[in-house]
Amino acid sequence: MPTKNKLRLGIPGRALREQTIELLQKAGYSVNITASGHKITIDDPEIECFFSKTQELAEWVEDGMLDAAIVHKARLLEQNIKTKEISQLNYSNSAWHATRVVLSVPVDSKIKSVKDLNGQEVFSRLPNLTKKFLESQGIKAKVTKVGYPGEAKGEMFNKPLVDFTDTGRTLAEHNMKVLAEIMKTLPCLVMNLASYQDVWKRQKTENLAMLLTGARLAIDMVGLMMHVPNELMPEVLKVLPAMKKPTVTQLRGENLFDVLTVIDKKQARELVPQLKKIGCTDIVEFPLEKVII
Amino acid sequence: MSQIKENSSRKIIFGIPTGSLQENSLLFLRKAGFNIHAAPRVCQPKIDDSQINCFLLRAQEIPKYVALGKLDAGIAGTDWILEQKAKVVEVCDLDFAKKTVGKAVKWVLAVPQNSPIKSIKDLQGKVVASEVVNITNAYLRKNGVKAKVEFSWGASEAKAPLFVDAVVDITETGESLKANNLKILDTILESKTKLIASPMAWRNPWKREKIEAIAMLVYGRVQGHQMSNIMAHSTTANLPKILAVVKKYDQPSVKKIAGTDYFDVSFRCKALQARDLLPALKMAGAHGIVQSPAFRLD
Repeated sequence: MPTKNKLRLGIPGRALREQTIELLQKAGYSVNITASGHKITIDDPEIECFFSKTQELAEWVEDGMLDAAIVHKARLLEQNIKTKEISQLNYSNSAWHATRVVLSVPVDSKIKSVKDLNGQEVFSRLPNLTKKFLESQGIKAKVTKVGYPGEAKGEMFNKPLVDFTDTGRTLAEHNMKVLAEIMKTLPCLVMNLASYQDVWKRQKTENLAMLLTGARLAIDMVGLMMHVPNELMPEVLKVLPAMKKPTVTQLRGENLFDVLTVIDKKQARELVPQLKKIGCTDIVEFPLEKVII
Repeated sequence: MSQIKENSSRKIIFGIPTGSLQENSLLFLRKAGFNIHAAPRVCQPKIDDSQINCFLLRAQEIPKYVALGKLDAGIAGTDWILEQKAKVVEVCDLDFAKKTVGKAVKWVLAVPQNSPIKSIKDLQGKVVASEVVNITNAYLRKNGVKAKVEFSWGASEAKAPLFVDAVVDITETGESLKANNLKILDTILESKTKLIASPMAWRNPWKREKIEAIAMLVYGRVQGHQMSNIMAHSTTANLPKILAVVKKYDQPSVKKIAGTDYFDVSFRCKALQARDLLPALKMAGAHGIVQSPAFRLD
């Protein structure tokens, strides 16, 4: 059972595993995994980590076996898990973006649209969500629960399939094509309802969430500093994105300002040449470790 | 001084350790701005500074050659400096080991988990295997214990209990000892990686200046490796609370942001401290908090 001043944290042990470990490291934790791969420890004596499949983590955080856990939103909905959501984290099994729950069929299937599913059997990793989706579409079909991995089963038995997909690569490998998207899902850091009432545990989890989201955001962003002559300031401020107010300071004894800001990595490709053209000098782009807005 | 002598003194012969310290030594020399090309099996790596000649040598031998003045400077651990009783100038700490940065490695006295040897005193008349014979003898003498110290060429973990009663071995994370079913009885020495110089080179003003320049660049990089820059925005009202948090870590630079009543608070902290610091800053009312790798600390 959870103890005082120690947070029991469930970490996805299969799907989401690698990205979760990387994000914990970026958040500033040193992560140690035993040779068998089943035990995870981090260098914070107040957090006790635990690896398991997310189906189990979801149940255990609801029961109070764990204080907190990282579990897919779709998994929480599927199992009707009652917990307190602290934060959603923008990553997936293999990429830094959301996962989709999709309905797919073999490429040569007679089923061409959702309507064709009437009277058919649908394989699903998430049967409850699938039933709700079919109901909302006015479709009557038999839903059969299948375990991981779903793609091979859909292909082998020529059945429509509901499963998670990040990049669509596994579906393509199994000659499946997407018919419809049921939902987008992100990993959620959730807390047991009683643990959430414990001030220390709540604070500890909220701080962890702040570091994880800060590290996640920093992956997409870069810092930018430059010198800007006085008369160009209005124009420069107009092109800089407004997400974070740029830090503008006047250089001592000069008609120059020092401007420092953070921007989206993708924006930098267009913004840097643009700033140069306006007349900014000494433009330096630098990497970020955490961004907390 | 003859012309030839003059020219040869304008070159630093620098020893880089092979083995466990090699990877991090090369990494931080490169980060410091020296392009070093170390081809496999070549003992004299190329470096893009014509005033430096590099040699890759066993870590155990670098202090000896530095003390003799055959090397002007080099990277070595305090363990081998002590073991070889080498008289060298310790220019600066470099704070890195094989796997970790910022932690000292330890030479420990270890015995099998179920060994009858429970304390140092029980070593009386026993046999200890050690790569650092002089350090081990000095340690036993200090504790008033007479035991036979057998020189070990390495892989000491495997030797107890079959070949010897106890071993003295180096540990960074403790994993290797655990894997060989050994437990630590005592720490004999904490060893730190240092940049060292020979007393002869240190008396030559040109060499000394050059060695100090190398040391400053590498030291700055090792320190910078563990440091982060933090920037945060604050309103005038929250500024005292935020500064109270920051002052525990560093002297911040506080700048008024032009055209607003906001302040920018910038400072440096150890990357490890950010975990506690960032939530505290947020709690004190800071926003737009950005952590980035530290810029050069030279």
